[in-house]
Amino acid sequence: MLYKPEEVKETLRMIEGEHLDIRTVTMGINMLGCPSKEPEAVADYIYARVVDNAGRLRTAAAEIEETYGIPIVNKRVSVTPMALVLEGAVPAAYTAAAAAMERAAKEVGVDYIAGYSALVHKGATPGDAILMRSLPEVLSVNERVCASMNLASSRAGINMEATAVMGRVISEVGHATDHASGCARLVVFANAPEDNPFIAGAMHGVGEPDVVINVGVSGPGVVLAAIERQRRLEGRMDFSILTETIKRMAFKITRAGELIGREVVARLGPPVQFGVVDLSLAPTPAKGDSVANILEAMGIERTGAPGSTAALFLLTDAVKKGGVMASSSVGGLSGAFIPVSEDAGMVDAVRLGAMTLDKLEALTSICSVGLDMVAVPGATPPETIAAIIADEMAIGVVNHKTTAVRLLPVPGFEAGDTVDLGGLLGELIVMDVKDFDVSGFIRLGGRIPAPLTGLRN
Amino acid sequence: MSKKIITESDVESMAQDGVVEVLRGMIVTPLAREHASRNGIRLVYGGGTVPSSEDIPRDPDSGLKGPSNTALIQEVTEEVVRAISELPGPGEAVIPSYSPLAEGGTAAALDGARAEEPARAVVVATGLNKPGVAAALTTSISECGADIQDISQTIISDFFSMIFVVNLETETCQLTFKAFKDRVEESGRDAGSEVVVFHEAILRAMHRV
Repeated sequence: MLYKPEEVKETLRMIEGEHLDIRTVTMGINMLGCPSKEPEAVADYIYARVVDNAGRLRTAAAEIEETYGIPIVNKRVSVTPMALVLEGAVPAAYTAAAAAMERAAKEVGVDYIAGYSALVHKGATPGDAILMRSLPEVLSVNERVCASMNLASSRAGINMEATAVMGRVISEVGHATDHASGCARLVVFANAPEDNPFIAGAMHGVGEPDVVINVGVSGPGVVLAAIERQRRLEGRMDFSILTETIKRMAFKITRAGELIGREVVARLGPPVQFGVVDLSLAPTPAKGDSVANILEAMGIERTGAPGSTAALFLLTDAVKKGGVMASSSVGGLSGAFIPVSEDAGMVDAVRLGAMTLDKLEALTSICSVGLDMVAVPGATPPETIAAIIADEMAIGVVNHKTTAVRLLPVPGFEAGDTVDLGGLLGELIVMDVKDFDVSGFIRLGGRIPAPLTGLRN
Repeated sequence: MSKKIITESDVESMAQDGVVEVLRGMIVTPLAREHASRNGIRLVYGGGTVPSSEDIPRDPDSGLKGPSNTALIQEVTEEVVRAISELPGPGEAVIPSYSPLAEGGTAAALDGARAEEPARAVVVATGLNKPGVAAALTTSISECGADIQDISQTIISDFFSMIFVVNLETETCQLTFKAFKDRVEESGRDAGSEVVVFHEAILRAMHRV
């Protein structure tokens, strides 16, 4: 037999029963060629670039889904950070650009378009400031536009001034949109990757080619099932068997991801190039497609209990090792982002009190879990939000890795309340934030210098 | 072998007609070197057999040492200019896009696995065993003009599982992958079994290194 029946059945089982899918195929489009700073011209250019390049994205993805039988869950678009494209333009150009992104996304049929972003880790230009100020309006008027800000880097330190501003902006966006849903499209980073395919933090970095396809693989369900099967069939399990099982699965998932990505590129033709496969295990609210459940399958009753950090370290490390063997084009975040609301197991853990804000912060130190899709009480002061961001940025800056914060201060909600955003965003339980005043620290202003480990040359 | 150190005073005593012969195994101290140059004493290395840069005559025109390169430079420059003028001018030149596929390794392997439609399909049928199931499937595959390359079948109690590897790249098969998939899956359902058809590339990517 060309393939062993077990191999065929395993693949079939992964696709049919264990939620193996491609989480996202994201097309990055360069916008630096924008010839004008006039609001109308900018809008026309952005619209035309997206429609010209991503117009066939959905059709190509659908054809490939049919052929390979692997679903591609999300088709998305990211663009060059708008602050770079629009520097020097009047404020009206920023809102016009966002509106053009929204219109183009609707036209090509993608649910999110990312790149309304600025990189301010060392300081903000006048354009960056306009963009930051425009966020509450842009995120409440548009539904598909996603924004991100890089506030810190290991080489520059943490821009505390911008961090303070973003604390205020997030609070404003929370109050300007229904159930703070606009905050689900606003993420702040330390060491933001330029080729991240995952919304809302996706952007098309300046080092990227003209048009590129980046792929985010998925498969918490596949990894979970493999661990459970191993336990059932072999009856014995130790940490080396556990890591080996995860590595093998990660290899297969990554191979499938790169195959699909390259196929999309082949169908779209030049100038589209293949970019990276992002190895992050991305959960969905679907039952059994949860990263938290994997930790629980390792023997931790609820994610967030002692042992969770070690278990997550083991998981992300094994996923990376398996994935790196499978592909030479690994990039993006590649580090198990866990959007709390999008992972059914995490939501359960929060509900039962196993997972807290502090534990999430601890988990960030071993993978890029960040504080992603975390609801906090609407009354949380902007300074406290900024301080939460600063903590996460510090972990990222010192450890040379990407960390992110996507907080939703939900007006009128208290710790323990449930907010249902519906769809892929899932259900949030408002987390408890320690009620102490930190405004003195945040108001100091300026920049926290780069750590010694940033001086590597 | 111990080396002989030539110091400042040695330079003075060894100098004959303003020349010091430095042989193998001798080390001239920096101070001695400086003293020699200050007093116009030449250091000749290798017992005079190894040419020193000091021995090379200066070109009277350029004031540079060694043979004149002017003609050679001229010639090379002209050749380069000629070659450049044959290339496309600015704007015409296309930077060839970097293709990792050309470099072998994983990317090449995956490229090999990538579907050059229609290539090969894998048909997996499962269901309650009853007469005629295999016949129905093989008939519909052959009606599509495809070529069965491999079959594996197992029966556990009342259930059967059958896997076909089918070549769609035959002269008689004019169907697209999608059309083939729809047709075979439908015929399987009619015969009362669950049939899934998927592309072989995905198996190759996942299970072959």
